[in-house]
Amino acid sequence: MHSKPHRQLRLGLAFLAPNILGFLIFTIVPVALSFALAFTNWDLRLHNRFQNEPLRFIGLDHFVQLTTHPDFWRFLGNTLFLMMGIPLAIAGSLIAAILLSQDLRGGNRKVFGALVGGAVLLASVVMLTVVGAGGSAMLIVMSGLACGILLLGVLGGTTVYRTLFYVPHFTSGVAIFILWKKLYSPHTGPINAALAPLLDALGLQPPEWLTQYHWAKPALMIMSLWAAIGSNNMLLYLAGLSNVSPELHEAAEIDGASAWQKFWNVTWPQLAPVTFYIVVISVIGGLQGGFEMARAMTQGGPAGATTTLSYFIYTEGFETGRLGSASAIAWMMFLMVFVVTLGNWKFGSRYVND
Amino acid sequence: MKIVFVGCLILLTAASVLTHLLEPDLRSDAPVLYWVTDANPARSEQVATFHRWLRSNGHPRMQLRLDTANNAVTKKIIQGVSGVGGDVMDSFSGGALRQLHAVGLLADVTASARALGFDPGHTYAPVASEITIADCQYAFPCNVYTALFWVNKATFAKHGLPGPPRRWDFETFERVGKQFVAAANPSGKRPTVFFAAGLDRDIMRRSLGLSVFNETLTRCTLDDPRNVRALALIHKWTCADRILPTASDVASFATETGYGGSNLQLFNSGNYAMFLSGRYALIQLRQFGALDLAVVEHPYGEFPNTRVDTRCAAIYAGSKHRELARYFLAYLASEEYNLHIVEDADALPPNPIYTRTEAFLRPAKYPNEWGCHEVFADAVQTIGIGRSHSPFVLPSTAERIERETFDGFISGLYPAEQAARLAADRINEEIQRALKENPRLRPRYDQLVVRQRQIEQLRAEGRRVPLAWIANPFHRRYYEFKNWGEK
Repeated sequence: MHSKPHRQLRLGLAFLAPNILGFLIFTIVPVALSFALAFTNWDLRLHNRFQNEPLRFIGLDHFVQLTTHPDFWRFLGNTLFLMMGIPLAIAGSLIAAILLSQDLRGGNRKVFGALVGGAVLLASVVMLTVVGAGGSAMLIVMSGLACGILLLGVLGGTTVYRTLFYVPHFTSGVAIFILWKKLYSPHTGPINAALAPLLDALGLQPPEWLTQYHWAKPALMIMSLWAAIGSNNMLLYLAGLSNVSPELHEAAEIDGASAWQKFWNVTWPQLAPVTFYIVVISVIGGLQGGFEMARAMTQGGPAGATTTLSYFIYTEGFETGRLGSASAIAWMMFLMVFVVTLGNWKFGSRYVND
Repeated sequence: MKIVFVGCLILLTAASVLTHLLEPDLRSDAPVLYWVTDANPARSEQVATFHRWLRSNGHPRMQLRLDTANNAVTKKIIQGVSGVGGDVMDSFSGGALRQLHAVGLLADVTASARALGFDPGHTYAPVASEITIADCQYAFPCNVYTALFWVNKATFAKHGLPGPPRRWDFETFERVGKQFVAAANPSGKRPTVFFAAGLDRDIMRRSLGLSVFNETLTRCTLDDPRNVRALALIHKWTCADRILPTASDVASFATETGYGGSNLQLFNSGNYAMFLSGRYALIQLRQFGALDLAVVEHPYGEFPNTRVDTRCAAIYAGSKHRELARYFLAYLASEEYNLHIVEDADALPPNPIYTRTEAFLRPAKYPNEWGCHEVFADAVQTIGIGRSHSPFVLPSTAERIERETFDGFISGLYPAEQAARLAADRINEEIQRALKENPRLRPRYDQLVVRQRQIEQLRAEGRRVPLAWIANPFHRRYYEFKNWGEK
């Protein structure tokens, strides 16, 4: 006879077995295999069920080759360049979260004023459009959109804004990339149309966003920034803000602290654990990312300007079949992520614990 | 909870059994074969014709099914090496065919082709080098295409200009192009109407006597001054003369890409007077109505030529039905299939005999196309040359490197000389890397390098070179053209 705890354990394991098996088969085993393969000459052209070439252990050859491969450093540079947007994205998420934590609903005069102001602005824009008096179609569209959002927010409260800000996160990536391709269109895109008056005044040419070598990376960075502001980071900050004790703010107010002093001395330190988590996750995501948008928007070009390390893994592994080399790049990337995360823990956690 | 757990288990097991029972292989009394191809609606009709052809010729029974979800080369490779590739696989160029061959996924069909009548003798001569690798045949064309310029005569007429000549050199192309864009675009404004959608760098280089690879395909020769000249011409026509659109101009057109890409939409709207494509462009052009069409050759330097490609079908080496799959390749050489291609305008029929039919030359429903079809058929047979594929570097890798260096040049990152040198250096590095990774390639490479030296020596002495020594199909034709070779 088995005891009850034993039976319960077996039952529990039976429940967990499918998940554990799936994790082992589809995660742990491939990860372990890729580590082993990074030290072999595995090449799909030589090693598969139709080719009988023996698999050879080549030690650190792939890693040595990578460090002397100019493309590797170039693509690492591209990856790091795109990561420069991370601090801005984190700041943007925080600002968005602070704005979205304000309660806009209610009948006070300020809100009523915004409502009336928005309605008047919207009506003016409609009238201008109807009579064809709009000097710039883009200005009309943008103003109209802003008014609509303002009115919606006043009527629906922060829920409307929170939903709108979170939309990029649950919209299909490819759809967003195609939309941004249109936005970046050099001569007919709305971004350059909006910049045109300023650039004309300064005597500058509009940027050729995705088609010019030096503009392609900033273009992807700006798009990532937009997507990151309304991402999970914003939700985490919203949750973090709701945990900041109102008593601390009240105490600061009694001491005569200004809004900035309240933020800097009360809110920001309270958000340190959330910020730390976001920084760690963003850096990991940044080092691993860039494949989907480059694949959909630029094919890694022009001239490799938007090819990141993850894209390099794809071309090495699936274009040329060099799976051993692709595994080595993946593990180099892991090493970088690991070192950066260790650094984050060592230096970042000090501020969190303080 | 235990009941829910067991219930789920039973449900999933039952669903798995049901899925297995519903598999086509079990439900069909004939062997089921899969054809991995693109999602062209014409494929269903081609499959139906294949089944009729099998019956009328007394061939073994089988059921061919379409698999249009796995047509990407990477998918074919991954599924192939996993043992679950489609029985028949389409390859959209000789380059892609070489990629599948490099992995060992393709069955050698040389003997079957002779027995069942689909050997290279049943298609155009320039296609032979595309479907054979190291003297073995691995595929047969589903169609054959060559890059020529489609001309919208109405666009030329609208701007008061006559259409271009059928054969023209670079100077004529530039002169007519400048006239066209000057007439079509208001001065002082950004041009939105262009002479041509783009050019083919390979055809341009070849027309100057240069190929991507040398005669024995052992070295990339893009660092040649003739490549520099081709790049400089493209730059001039794109950035200075504005005959061709820049990448920025293309990105600024508010058009979505349909079948065949945005070029066809912009050709129809009059933004492009010409675009480079195969006869298959008619599949989309016919949707636009009766356009006033003509076809002209790509401009040339000294050697008129065009590139010949093929969408070809190959047999998966791991197929359980390799013997049966051979009949599908035989069907591609049949009259039934070829007439289908003729009617659909899906490029040229695999067998050139059918390009001489009235149905091909003057399709009754499309009188606006009369005079266009034979230009494609003639071009393949007279100036068409297959691509130059080196066995020491994957075609997709060489193409990517060439494209990247061209992009860098056209966006001002480096001058033409540096772009040409960079492309050659990087492709040659790839060749050396492949030799190091795959020692089996080395003996053949060394042999060919010796042969290359012999060729160069004979050329330096002004003597003729045996054409059999030349592996690069372009150089074989060019040597004939220059009278440098002997049979």
